[in-house]
Amino acid sequence: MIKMLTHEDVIRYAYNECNAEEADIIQAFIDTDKKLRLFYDRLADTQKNLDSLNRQPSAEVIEKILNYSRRIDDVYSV
Amino acid sequence: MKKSGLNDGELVIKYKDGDDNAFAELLNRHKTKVFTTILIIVKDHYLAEDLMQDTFVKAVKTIKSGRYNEEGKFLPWIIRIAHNLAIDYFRKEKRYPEVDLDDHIKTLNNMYFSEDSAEAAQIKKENYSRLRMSIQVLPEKQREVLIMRHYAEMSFQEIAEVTDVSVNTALGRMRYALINLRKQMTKTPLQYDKDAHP
Repeated sequence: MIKMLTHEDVIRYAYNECNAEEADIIQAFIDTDKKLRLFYDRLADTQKNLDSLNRQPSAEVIEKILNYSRRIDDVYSV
Repeated sequence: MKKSGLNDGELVIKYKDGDDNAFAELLNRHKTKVFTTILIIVKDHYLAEDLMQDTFVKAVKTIKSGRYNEEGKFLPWIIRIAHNLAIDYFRKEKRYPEVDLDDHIKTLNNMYFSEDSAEAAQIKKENYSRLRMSIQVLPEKQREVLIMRHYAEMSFQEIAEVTDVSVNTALGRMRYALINLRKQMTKTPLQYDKDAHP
């Protein structure tokens, strides 16, 4: 049971770490409290920005790793 | 590549037993998160690729020698290897990546943003650089929690156990990391608020 909502509760909610009951309560707080709404919106925006940092390694380095993973089979199967 | 529908732990067991496709699936599943984690810490794309190779080589050796014991928590485990290798690199070199916006932009030129208009690409590049630098200058404990939660997808409970703090402390560090990032993204020059950490 959440008595007083904190920013940490909103962070858990934004990262899907609440049970269904908690999530409903937190969402209701966010819907009615302007300050929490602002905090949540900024948090969601930051999450989106963090997602935008995702980058792919080159196909070449993936191939090198795969080659190594196959070669080492020979070592451990002897 | 055809997906097996197996979880990470099952793929690790299949790879240990000689199924190379299982490792290929693990690599494909997690390559972006591992690479991004390293790239956030180091500022060089090629160095990040070298460290990514070292990370997976270490993982392969551990799995094949039967020393892997993470019971399905493959991603947090390999992210920790990647994080430690990246930090160790700079400790050995006795230097930390310099925060240099111009250098970031030069490195990124034509690498990731070629499909955008010139102006849109420039804005994206600057935002990308600023965010990455903002993460680099976070206090270490805040950066650690941010990477573990956002990129390694560890729960706050798991982070608390790994870093030997309470869940509330882990959450508090995440909160200050997010506040500091927000501040950095809206101001210049790049500095973090030294008072804003638990």
